[in-house]
Amino acid sequence: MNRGAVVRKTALGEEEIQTRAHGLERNLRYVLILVDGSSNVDQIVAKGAGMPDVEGSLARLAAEGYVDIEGYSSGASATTGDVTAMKVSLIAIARELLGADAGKVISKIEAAPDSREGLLEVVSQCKKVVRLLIDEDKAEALMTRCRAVLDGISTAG
Amino acid sequence: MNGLQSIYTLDIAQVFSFGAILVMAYCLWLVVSLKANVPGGIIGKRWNLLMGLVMVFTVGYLTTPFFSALPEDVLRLIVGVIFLLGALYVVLTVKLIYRVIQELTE
Repeated sequence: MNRGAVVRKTALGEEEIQTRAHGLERNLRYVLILVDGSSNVDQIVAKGAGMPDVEGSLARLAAEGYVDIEGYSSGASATTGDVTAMKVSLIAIARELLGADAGKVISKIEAAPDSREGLLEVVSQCKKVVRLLIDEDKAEALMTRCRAVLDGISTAG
Repeated sequence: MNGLQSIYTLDIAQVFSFGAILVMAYCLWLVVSLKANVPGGIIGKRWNLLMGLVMVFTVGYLTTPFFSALPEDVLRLIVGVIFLLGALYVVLTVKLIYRVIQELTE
């Protein structure tokens, strides 16, 4: 991620600040609040000095469509660090959607290869597991949200 | 000799009945303990039904030692119901396996 890149909230990010409709994790919400549309990654990391992994949180917010980071959300290539951030995002989505039943899915994502194709394959397997064992609607929601994260990698690559 | 044969037959029947009760009790323990791993989804929905059927079978099987004391028409009714539910159980299981195969191969 280019640390000089300006970070802006997307419409989804603005909506989340206003309505909390997507139930963003507290830590991510704090980082989203720090995004003022003119600060770059470095400045936001400095503002959130007391908070854990602000840069990682920004990557997750970008991956989930809450913020746009110049040169990150569209243009830069997907590095291993980006893929790791995507894995973190996928795990967060699984936790959020599946709660106490997320264990199997999280283990699969953690063990997934560090590539978009590998992650996509594993997410597809996870969807089947969730459809069979947990909830058919949650399986669809999981696939949709994880795909959005992985498409973030795809457009970045 | 006939008396001996009758006692022998009765004993074998009882052994089979008790064996069936034990196997069904084990099956009941299995479905109940595995339920935690299948909270919902395609399998979870069917699992509740299968669990209910296993419970009915367990109760039904527990009555088998008392079959000789039951009137014949009641006995025929119980056997008929257990056969019907058994067939239903097999259909549900086969359909569930089919759905799982479909999901895994699509």
